[in-house]
Amino acid sequence: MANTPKENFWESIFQPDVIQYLYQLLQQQQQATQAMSQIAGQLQAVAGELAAVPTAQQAAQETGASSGRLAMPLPTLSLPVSPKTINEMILSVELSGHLFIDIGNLAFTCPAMQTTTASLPVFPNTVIVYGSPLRYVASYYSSGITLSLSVDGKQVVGVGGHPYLLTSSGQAELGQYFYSRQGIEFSIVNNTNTDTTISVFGEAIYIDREFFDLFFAPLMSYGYNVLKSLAAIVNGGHEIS
Amino acid sequence: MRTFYCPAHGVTLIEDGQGGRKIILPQVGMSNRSIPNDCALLTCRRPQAGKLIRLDTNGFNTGQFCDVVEQ
Repeated sequence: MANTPKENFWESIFQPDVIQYLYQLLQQQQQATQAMSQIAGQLQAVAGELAAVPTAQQAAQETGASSGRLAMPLPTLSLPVSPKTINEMILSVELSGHLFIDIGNLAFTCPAMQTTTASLPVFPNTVIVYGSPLRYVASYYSSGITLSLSVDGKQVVGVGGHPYLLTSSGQAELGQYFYSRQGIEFSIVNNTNTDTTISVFGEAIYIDREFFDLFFAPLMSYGYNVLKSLAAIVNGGHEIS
Repeated sequence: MRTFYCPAHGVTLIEDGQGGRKIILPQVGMSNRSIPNDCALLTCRRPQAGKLIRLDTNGFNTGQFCDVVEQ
């Protein structure tokens, strides 16, 4: 007895491969539903955090409705701080008695065939932070005249510590945030038969030593240690001594 | 070795007699820190008859003596 068209239809539907296909569709649908549930959960968490943020109206009420001002978030400070940031912070607030800035300008004669040394000592209980390179000019230039510069007893100018030849005006780059606890010493050797007068000038920031030791130096040390730790993480745990 | 002192600015100059000289700037208070460039000891040359010869800004002899004290 032959099957009716209706029976043929159901037989064709319930073939094994069709059932397998429908089962896969059901699985994918369940996975999609689970993913959407997770997203919904995350959205609920975000909504809860947003609810804790005061609205502009609430903030105005907290700060005083009469002033009409809105509550501002506290400023954030990125760490590690840089010497530039600290210098700017120091210079932008009034620290009476803790520091002063001096545009130093000194000229001294360096007689022919003589060595002239000039010491610029730091005041007791003071540290100098340099705000600019030290520039120098002379009344007479020659390759027979050399200029050396020492900070705290360490020679700092020239490649490999060699002195500058005074063949033109120039500047000694100490590093803009170089600091000194003892002083600068200039040494000029004039091996010519002509006297020369040398002027040196630059910006020096004199900071109270206690303030420097308790504010500037710890922040610099902290910044350095943060970067050292970061370098150790990046290079696989090898920390420099 | 000869040592000269500028009483006006507290600058000391030491001549070692062998072609070397050392200028020592004072550790003065912060309020009077500046030393003018025309301070006698900063613009003078080798001793002559117990005094130092003042030079002009170009390093030439002005014919004047610096007002310093030999110690």
